[in-house]
Amino acid sequence: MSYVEFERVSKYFGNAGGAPVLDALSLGVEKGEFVTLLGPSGCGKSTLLRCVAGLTEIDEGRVRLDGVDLTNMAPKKRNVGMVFQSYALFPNMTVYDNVAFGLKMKGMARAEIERTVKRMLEIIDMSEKSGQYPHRLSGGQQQRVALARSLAVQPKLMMMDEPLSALDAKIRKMLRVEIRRIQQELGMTTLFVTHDQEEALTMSDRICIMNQGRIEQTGTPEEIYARPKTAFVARFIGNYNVLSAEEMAVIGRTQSASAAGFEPEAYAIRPEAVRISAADDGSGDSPADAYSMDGTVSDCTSLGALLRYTVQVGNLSITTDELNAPASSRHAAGARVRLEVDRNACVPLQG
Amino acid sequence: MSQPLTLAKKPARRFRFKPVALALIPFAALIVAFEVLPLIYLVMTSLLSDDETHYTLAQYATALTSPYYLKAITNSVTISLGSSVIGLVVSLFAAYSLTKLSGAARERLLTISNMSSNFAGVPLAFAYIILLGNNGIFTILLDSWGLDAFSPDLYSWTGLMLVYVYFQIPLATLLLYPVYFGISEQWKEAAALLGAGSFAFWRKIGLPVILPGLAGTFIILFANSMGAYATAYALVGGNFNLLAIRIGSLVAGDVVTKPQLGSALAVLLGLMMMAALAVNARLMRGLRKEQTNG
Ligand SMILES: Nc1ncnc2c1ncn2[C@@H]1O[C@H](COP(=O)(O)OP(=O)(O)OP(=O)(O)O)[C@@H](O)[C@H]1O
Ligand SMILES: [Mg+2]
Repeated sequence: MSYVEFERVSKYFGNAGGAPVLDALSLGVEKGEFVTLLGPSGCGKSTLLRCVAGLTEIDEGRVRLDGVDLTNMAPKKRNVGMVFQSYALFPNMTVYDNVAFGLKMKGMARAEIERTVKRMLEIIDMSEKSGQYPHRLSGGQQQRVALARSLAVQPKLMMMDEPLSALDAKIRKMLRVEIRRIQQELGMTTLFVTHDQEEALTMSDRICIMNQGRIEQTGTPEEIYARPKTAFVARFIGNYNVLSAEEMAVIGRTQSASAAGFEPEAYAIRPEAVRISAADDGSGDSPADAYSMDGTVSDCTSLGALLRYTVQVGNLSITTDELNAPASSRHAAGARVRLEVDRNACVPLQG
Repeated sequence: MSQPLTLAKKPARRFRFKPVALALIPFAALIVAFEVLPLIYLVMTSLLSDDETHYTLAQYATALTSPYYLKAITNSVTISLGSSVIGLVVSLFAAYSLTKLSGAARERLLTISNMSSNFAGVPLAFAYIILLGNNGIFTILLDSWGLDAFSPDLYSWTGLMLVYVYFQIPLATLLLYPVYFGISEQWKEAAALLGAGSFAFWRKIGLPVILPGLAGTFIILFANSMGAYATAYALVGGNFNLLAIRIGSLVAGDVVTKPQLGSALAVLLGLMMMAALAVNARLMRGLRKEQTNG
């Protein structure tokens, strides 16, 4: 049995007949694990966290933490911490008092509170801001204080609901590293919510891709990235080209993929797995283990280190990424090009 | 390159005339005609002797030494403090429950509050008289049930307090209601997860955050009841020794008028309100300073 255990958790808002926000969701999180819930807006990520915290009631199913059934427990008894996107620091208290708040509520002795708060402020590197009020801090600093405030009471489970979404890109990247470091140092079991795939891929031990109140796929970042199981995951992660079985016929696939053990409904092709070359040169001999097709460049954008082409093949639109080589080798919009994809770079998808 | 330098050297012109300022003239004229001039007149009058022959501080001396007028001042302050405290405490809960209501019900209650907070003066006194006066509906009902011990005496201090509280509560509710929107739901949630119950939340976070709003509301309530004249006058006539009633009868009474003394009392009333405002501003500045400089 896992440290945190979701057992067929369902939640309906409004009329129970409508679509559930959480749909018999089951999930286990191990002690010390950093699990990210990744999914589009409205898929129920926040709702799931709020159900664990007791801020929203569960309609069906149960949640267990360290063997204790949380389902009907008051929030303050659950021993879970939460960091919000909006920081939610108490504006009438200094940084010190914010971090000390939970400890005071626990009735901890004054000297011990002081020791704990000092240590927390050291961990988040905010010791010199101890006497400051929240509104004088930057967003990143406020979120670090919010993190320390939750960590101080040593919750069994730490939950973060898009903690970095309100911050600018540079701070966000720094804090990612910092949160991950603190989490590993303290061995903190963490449920992290984001809709930023890069964030999920760089921080997590395990990612759960959520869609409409269900977990569509769970796995390590590598697994999720390299082997999406469904069209939804493939589209959500890594800008995959998702082609239906009929569309695969257009680019030349004929044999049935019995190797996958099922008849796939679609295939995912990573943009960087598609090779692009000018249509004229090297015509004829494409490798036998690759699909090739001719198309017209409809768009070319520079992503810094990468060039992203959108190529029109018949009525299919295929995205390719190429290293941003010197301008000489660029294909202009309207140019005829040849695309090649290795057969084993086409990931079969179900549903 | 040199452009910013030359700009920086030029002395800043502070008082540049803007044509838009012309639009303020009617407003300024209004303020002067109906606020500044009467105030000057009031202060001048208060400094005149009874026979208006010379300037003196005698009116103030009378006002501040006569036990009669001192009593009027303390009566007014007492009833204002009392009705403001009651109004504030009741509306603290009333305004909070308003924020928890659905949109339509809230709108309706706000409209009623708005109406009843403006429903003061003679009509209010009259309404109370027909409900709780000597021949009021409830007085007679309670009498006929043998419960006359419970019927409040409208023409006593309790009665007056009741009437004051009537217009203080809706006013305070209207003023406090928006203050609650300064409290984020997530503070409550964060506090709950850190082990704070509802009581601890309000004591440590909720009330401290709305404190400036509470203080501001209290000052307005206090000023509102210090200046209330028509309500008290309609209810108890000149029988009650209240500052506003004293001023009224000195300035426009039917027996003897002493506008100079009345003016002095009015100036004192104004000073008391200004003092209350100043104390409030001072407290709030201290509070904000604490939260900004830490
Ligand atoms: N209190 C509520 N009352 C009614 N519906 C709600 C409530 N809270 C959430 N919902 C609905 O539940 C669904 C899931 O909401 P949730 O906030 O969990 O999404 P999310 O995955 O966190 O999205 P986002 O990425 O935008 O934060 C949404 O359709 C939302 O409208
Ligand atoms: Mg959310």
